[in-house]
Parts: sequence; C-alpha cells; structure tokens
Amino acid sequence: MQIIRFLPFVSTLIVFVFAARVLIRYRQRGGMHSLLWGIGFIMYGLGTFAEAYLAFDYTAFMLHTWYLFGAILTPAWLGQGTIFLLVRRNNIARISLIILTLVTLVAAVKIFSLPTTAKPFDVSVPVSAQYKDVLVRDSLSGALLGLFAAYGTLALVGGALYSAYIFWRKRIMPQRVLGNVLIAAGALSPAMGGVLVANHLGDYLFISELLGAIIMFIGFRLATAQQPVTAPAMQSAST
Amino acid sequence: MNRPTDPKTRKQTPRMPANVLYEKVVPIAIGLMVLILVLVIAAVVFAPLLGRGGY
Repeated sequence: MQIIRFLPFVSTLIVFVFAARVLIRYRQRGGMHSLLWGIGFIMYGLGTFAEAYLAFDYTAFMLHTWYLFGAILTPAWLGQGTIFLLVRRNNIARISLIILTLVTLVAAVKIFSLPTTAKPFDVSVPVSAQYKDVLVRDSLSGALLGLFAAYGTLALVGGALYSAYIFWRKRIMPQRVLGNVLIAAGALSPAMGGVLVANHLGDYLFISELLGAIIMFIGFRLATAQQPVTAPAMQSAST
Repeated sequence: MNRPTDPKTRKQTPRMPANVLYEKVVPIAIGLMVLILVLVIAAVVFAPLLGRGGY
C-alpha cells in the first residue's frame, strides 16, 4: 500500500480544520471575506476528499466531484474572499460574487453532465494521472477550468502578495507580512501542481495540495494573530 | 560639551538593520512569487491555446 494514497486524507483533515477555524472567525467577527474563505476551504476539502476516495474506490459521482471542486471551484472562491478583503468600493466585490455564483452553477451543471468513458478506472493510480482518459471533457469545461483557475489564483495569490508588500513597505505588522507571504506560497503550491499535471510535466498534485494546505494554515494563523503594530526594524530605528 | 563633532574624527558604530531577514528576504520572496504567479497564469491561460497540454 503506497503511503502517497493516504496523503489526500491528511490534506482533507487539515483543510476541514482550517475551514472550521475560518468559519468560527466569521461567526465571531463577521466579514464577508472570512465566509467566502470558509466556503472555499470546504470546497478544497471536498476536492481532496474525492481524491482520497478515488484512491480506494471509483464512482463517476466522485470523479465529477473531484473535477468540479478540486480542479475548478476552489481557487476562485478563495480568491473571491480576497477580493472582498481588498476591494471595498463601487460594489465590485458584490457584483463579482454574483457573477461567480452564477458561473459556478453553470459549471456544476456542466461538469456533472460530462460523460465518462468505458475505460476502467485504476484506483492504484492517482486520479490526476488518469482523469483525462476517463472523463470526457469538452472545450467549455476546459475554458471554465482555465477561467476559474486564472481568476482565483490571480486574486488569492496576487491579493496576498499585494497585502504583504503594503505592510512591508509601511514597516507595520511583520507577522501579517509573513502570514500573507505564506498564504501566497501555499496557494501557489497546488496551482503549480495542477499546471504540471495539465502539461504532462509530472504528477505532484497530492503532495502539492498537502503542502499548500499546511503552508496556508500557518500563514492564516500568523496573519490573524494578535501582533505588535510596529516592525522590529522600525522599533530600533525610532529608539 | 567635549564630544568631537567632526564626522571625520567621530567614531561611529556601524549599524546593522535590526532584522536583515525581514528587510531583505521578504521583498525577494514577494518578487519571486510574483514571477511564479505570472508563469502559472500564463500556463493556465495560454498553454491550452498553444496546444501544450490543457486540463
């Protein structure tokens, strides 16, 4: 039994704990960004759970679930949380959320209507290495995936890096700087894993998802921890 | 006040930044990740169009 087959279970556990913490924070403090991040991490967990399930048994429903949540929706909903955090004017965040919700419904209907081939699914092989042979995708499903992945990765990673840079430049909240850097790195991890899989350059999706979940979790804890307002460098400069 | 005021004669203690890691590594890390982000987005958007893989 390969240990790599159990990695998605570990990822699922971490991601659902992460989602619970974010949603508890939303209940305590509010903030639409926290709610959307919580939804995004639940989607992340559904994707990794489907991946874990498919390492031991196959159903077409689980394959569709993995493709919808693991490959398409997760980055976009996490990124939408960052949009709500950073874009506060002109109702851009609300309008983009409405559009995202509508396109998500279209994507769900589309993905679950994709047929599967008669080729047998080998549970000893990672789903990311064989979904192209089993799931019959068309140009619309590919376009939806590219659209969601690009939007979500740009918003989530770009937003975290932008926040890190702003705090760093102002020399304030060093823990938030580091937290945002880690969130960006964690989000980039599965994004790079997905790009490698899509371009036949290696299958590191399991480990990239696990690393991404752990790094983002640490980043989130750092970014939301109580912290001094002034960075160490400024403290020494002002004394 | 007997302190030497001439900058040439005054002995100064070299000052290091309080946190070199924070001052130097963070912007490099941010820059590197921006570069990776651009590459990932380019791969996601353009690779299928160029016939190089695709999801």
